[in-house]
Amino acid sequence: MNKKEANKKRWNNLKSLVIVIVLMLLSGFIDALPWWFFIVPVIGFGIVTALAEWEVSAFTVGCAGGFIVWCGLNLYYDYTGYGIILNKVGAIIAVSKPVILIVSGVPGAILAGLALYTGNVFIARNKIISLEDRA
Amino acid sequence: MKKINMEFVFPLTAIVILVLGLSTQLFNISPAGKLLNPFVGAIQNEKSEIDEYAGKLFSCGGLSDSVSVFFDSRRVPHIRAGNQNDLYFAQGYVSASLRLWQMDFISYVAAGRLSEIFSDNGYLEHDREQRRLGLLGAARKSLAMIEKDSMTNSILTAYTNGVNAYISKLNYRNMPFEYKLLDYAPEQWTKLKSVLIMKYMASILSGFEQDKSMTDLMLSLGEESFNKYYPDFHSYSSPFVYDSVLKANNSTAYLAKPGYLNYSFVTSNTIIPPSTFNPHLGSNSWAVAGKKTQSGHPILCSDPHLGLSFPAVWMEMQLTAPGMNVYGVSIPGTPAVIIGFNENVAWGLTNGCIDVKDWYKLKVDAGYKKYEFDGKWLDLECNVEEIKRKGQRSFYDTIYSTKHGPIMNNKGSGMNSYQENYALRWELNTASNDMLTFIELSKAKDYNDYRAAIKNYKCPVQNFIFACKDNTISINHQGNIGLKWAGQGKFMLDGTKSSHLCKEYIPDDSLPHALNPKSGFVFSGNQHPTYSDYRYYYNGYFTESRANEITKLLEKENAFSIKKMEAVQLNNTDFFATEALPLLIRMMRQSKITDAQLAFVEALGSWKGTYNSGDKDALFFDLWMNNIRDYTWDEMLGMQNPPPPPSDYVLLGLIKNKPGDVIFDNRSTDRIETAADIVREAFINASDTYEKIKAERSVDWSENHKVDIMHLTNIEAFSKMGMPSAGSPSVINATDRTWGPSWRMIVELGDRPTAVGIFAGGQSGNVGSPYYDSFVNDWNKGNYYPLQFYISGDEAKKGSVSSWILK
Repeated sequence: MNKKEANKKRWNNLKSLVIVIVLMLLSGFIDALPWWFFIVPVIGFGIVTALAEWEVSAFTVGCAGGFIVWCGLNLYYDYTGYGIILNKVGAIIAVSKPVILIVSGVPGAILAGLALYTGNVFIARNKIISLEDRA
Repeated sequence: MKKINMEFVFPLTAIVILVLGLSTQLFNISPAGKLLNPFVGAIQNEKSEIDEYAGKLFSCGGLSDSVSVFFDSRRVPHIRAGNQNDLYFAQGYVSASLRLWQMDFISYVAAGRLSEIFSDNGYLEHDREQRRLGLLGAARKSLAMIEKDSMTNSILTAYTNGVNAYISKLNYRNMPFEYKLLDYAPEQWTKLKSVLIMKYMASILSGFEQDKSMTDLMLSLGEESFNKYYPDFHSYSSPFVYDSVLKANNSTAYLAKPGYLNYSFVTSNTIIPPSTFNPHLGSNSWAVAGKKTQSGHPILCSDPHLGLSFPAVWMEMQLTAPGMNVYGVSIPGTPAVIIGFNENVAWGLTNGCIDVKDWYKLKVDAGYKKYEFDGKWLDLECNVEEIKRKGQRSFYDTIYSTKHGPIMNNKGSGMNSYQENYALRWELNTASNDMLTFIELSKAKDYNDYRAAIKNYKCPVQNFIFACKDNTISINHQGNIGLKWAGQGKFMLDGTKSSHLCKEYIPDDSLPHALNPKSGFVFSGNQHPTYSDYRYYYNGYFTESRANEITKLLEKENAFSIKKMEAVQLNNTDFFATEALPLLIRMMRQSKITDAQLAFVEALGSWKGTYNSGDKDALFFDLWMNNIRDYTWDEMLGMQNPPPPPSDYVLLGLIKNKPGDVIFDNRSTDRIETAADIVREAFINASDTYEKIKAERSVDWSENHKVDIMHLTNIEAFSKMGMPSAGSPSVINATDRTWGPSWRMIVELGDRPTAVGIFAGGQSGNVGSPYYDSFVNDWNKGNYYPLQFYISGDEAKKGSVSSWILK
């Protein structure tokens, strides 16, 4: 991969990250949807990246987006709230609040990573892309 | 044309598996995906519902007019409605907003439905026991009775609709945290659930009994010794009916061994049913008339001693509608205020501590179809209870019952902690409409209204303390107490004889009561309500030390104020200790002890019997008394199933008057010990223990007396553990590790009531709210909050920091 392609991929990754975050936020704030619903638009967006033939590190970008949204929002609510509940949730499993905050990002990260990857590989591409590139 | 790449199947399968796994409770681990999701999970419970919805208008449906809910700075709701039904609808809505999980959970506990919440089998036995005890059946019977009373029914219906109006607005994001953690959802509220909560409270307060222990003791000690060590009455009591006008009947002072009670009667297994009920759940309450107060207005105090828990058992509120304006504490899940005051009257409660739970030994045929009763063979009733279980098939339990009540352990039931083939007669199982008492008390204007209100009250037997601004004060021992022959129900009864069943109750107007006594005060600390000259037989589990101290303090002062009453309510003096200590010190001075021990004795002599935080001698006295009890009652403690030891006052009487009594002899030594030997040995061993404790930690009382307030799920992370505290079970400020004065209230009536109070908890049941435990530290320090009693809507508005409108 030459420098130009690498830059393009980095740019695509960044765009994808922002879009994943926005999609997760939009779907997350709709109460009527089940908690896992963000997976659907993220898969959809993964398909779009394939159709648009973007070079994206799908799993990594999805993971990063999921982690930022889940861990970040938990941190935000904790900071702007009373700082009580995560202490108590942590105390149930005998871990501190920073640990529970990091743990809180993991389910979102894995699911968003898998979702973007699923969408991204859904359509067979004209160009052969190695699995490493996609990951 | 783009082709589908089958490679997507693998990550998609992983997603499906993960979503399923993270959405479900597996191996008792909460569904992590839902719980950690920041949009709907735990973090969404990080809020104060009261403040978050400040100024909000909630459309509820079911209200005839809008209702205002003003929250004061402690987030106490002041609900103002245009009519009674709207008021109770709003009470239901607000109670559910702040305490839904708690009230729902208690209804599951009472009905024996915990297996529906917890997926392991750990609660199946609990559920079977609850079903057999019959709370669910009792609640159904009581509800049928309530539905016939149009006023109670319409209030309970309105309350239920209010709770459901709140539930209908819930989704996963805003439901109480415990539902998320335990992975279940709130169900529709029903009137039955409210009645179940009332029955649950009644079971806590009337569940203790010791029939089997007393039977064993009567048989093993013999009639004379039994009456010496376990008398129903003794001379150290301060009953609240002093000037007994009732017919003297000393037959109840000495209990002859009932003729049927012999070893052949009690031949089956000798396991004593383990009592999970706490006999100490008592309370203090008193009222003084204006002639004993600074202002000339009456003052009423009430502090019910209950298990301390999160969410707190009580919730403060003011309920205002045309014809009523009441402030006090309610039990979440039930309408009205249980302990409180209005512009005219105030009332408090203490447990009557009457034994209303009796066991009947049955004769059942081999086929388990019939039982003998007065020479006839009657059919056993048989019901099959379905106990639903989370993640498993239902368990079906067959419950047999007789005229007396349910059989807790029928042959093959496996309920081995109960005696086989005994039926339980528990007053709790009788239908009653106790709610009506509190509904009517809220509106009471005078003594007559109060008397009319408490007539509806049946179980558990309570002491109602009353004060009216016209200076009427009263105490009433109220509830259903069976008309019994001497000893009936104290021991196991014969289920084959109708003469062993109670057919009537003590008439209402003959229940112990006092109205405007000359002393100028009425009081209860769970002591005997009468002397032994009361016309009717009753037995129970009374305590005298607190009542004796209350009497002493109320007699001494003639210009009470709220401040002075706070000092009485927080008094840490053990009346028993102040009586026993001089005698024990005198005995020690006369015994052979070292100079160092004598110096210790002399130092202890200056102790005033107080269990204040910094007291260093309280721990020593406690250790010493524990040893004296153990060494004296070694005969009882050595029994196969140790019964409860006799009262400390019986022990003190023996030390004082019969120091040579055979009970003081230690059977494991050759010589014959007397009370003096026991007291000395107990002292020396207590000294050793005390020194060992001193080497490890502080001997300050509060460092050795810690209080835990546990969450209802027993999750320590949601609890407050190990709070160093003043007080002790036998002082007015009766605190113990898991229970204590759950609500302290002092009300001075007059042109306008002035009141202070505090409960051990916080207004919110939400573990993520700052108002979950906001009162606890002040409660533990003995601080009080002024209770804001608003007369007008403008006052309520001015005093509020947040308000809701329900429409």
